[in-house]
Amino acid sequence: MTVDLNTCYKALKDTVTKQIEDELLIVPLVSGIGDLDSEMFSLNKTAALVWERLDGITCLGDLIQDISKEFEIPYNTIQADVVDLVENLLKKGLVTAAS
Amino acid sequence: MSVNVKYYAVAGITIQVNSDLPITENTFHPRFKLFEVDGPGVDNVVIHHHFYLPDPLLKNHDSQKNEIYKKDQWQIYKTNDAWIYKFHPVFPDDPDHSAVGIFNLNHRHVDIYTCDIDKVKYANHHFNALTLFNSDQVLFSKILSDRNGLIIHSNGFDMDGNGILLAGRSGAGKSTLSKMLKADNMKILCDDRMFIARPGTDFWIYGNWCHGSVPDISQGSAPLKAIFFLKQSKTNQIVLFKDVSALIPLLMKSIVKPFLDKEGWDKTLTTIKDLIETIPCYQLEFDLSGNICKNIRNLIN
Repeated sequence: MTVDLNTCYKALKDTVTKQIEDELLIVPLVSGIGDLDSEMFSLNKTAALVWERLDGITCLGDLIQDISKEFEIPYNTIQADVVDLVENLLKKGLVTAAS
Repeated sequence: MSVNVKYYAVAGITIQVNSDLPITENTFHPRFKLFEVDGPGVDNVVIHHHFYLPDPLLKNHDSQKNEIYKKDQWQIYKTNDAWIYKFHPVFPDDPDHSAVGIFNLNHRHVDIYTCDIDKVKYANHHFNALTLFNSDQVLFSKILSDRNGLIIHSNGFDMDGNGILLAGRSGAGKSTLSKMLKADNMKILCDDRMFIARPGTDFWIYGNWCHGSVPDISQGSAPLKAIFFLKQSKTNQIVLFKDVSALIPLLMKSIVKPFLDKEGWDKTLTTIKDLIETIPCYQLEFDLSGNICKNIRNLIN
């Protein structure tokens, strides 16, 4: 699954989440329930920050730029990690391409 | 002697089984004898066995119901006032009958309907589940989640009044270590799925009947003091998880994932959070010498 910096990605809304220390637990719901086959996922603090900003409106490149400025980390330092994360979330069905 | 009502207690919950047919000593698997009690308790759930399919009733539910799951043995519907579980045997280990369960929303009242069981079979079959399904997990997942509890794939022990759980992937050594602990006079509560609930301030673990083959079970319970995630090794070592990011994936893999709605999952995740914040969890490496039993005793006592 190819991740495009010009694409807007949207985090799955039909989930139940819980913050435990720096980890965000996520249970995706299907037809309103979490079933025996659905996996629970956990995201670390940085991944959760990205997840929360995947709003379907901001393209991924701009999102990385925002995080880069806000946390004063060079764009190129975080780009690969964010792309890997979004690719992973796409595979798990936790994120969809909005456009 | 046969009766039409029996009571079974686990995790502080009494299950009253009412039946349209006589319940004999051989209706349920002999292990249920461990859990049999004389009458209702404080916290009660009623299961009623019926031996017909209530077409008009199901049709009424049909008018509002939504299928929310269909896979393997299960079709599940949810209506405004009930969960409907349709069970059809698929796998070789499944019971050889179909059944439909209509559970009220909090699963305190359950009607089970089947046409595949006659009086003779019901009297002699040694059913593995009070719901007549392949397991009572669908029932307990929900009622435990409402009681700050969950089901965890693990072996549970009562060590001089202190409860411990052995968890880990298949092949990690749960059975091997369990044999060592039993040889060291620790009392096994259950060797596959443990119930956890928090009736007051403490988490407790409970032996139960929710496993098909069940060589070792007990109706006992104990306050939970530690969870050990196993790793076979050439040394004996117990290391506390200080970093939840390493612990959470292991714990999540061990939790028996129930069919729950958003509210139920929110309660379950809160229970997981409380469990992590309250109960020390360790990585346990052990060799085959049996010396790890002493390490566990020293740690817990």
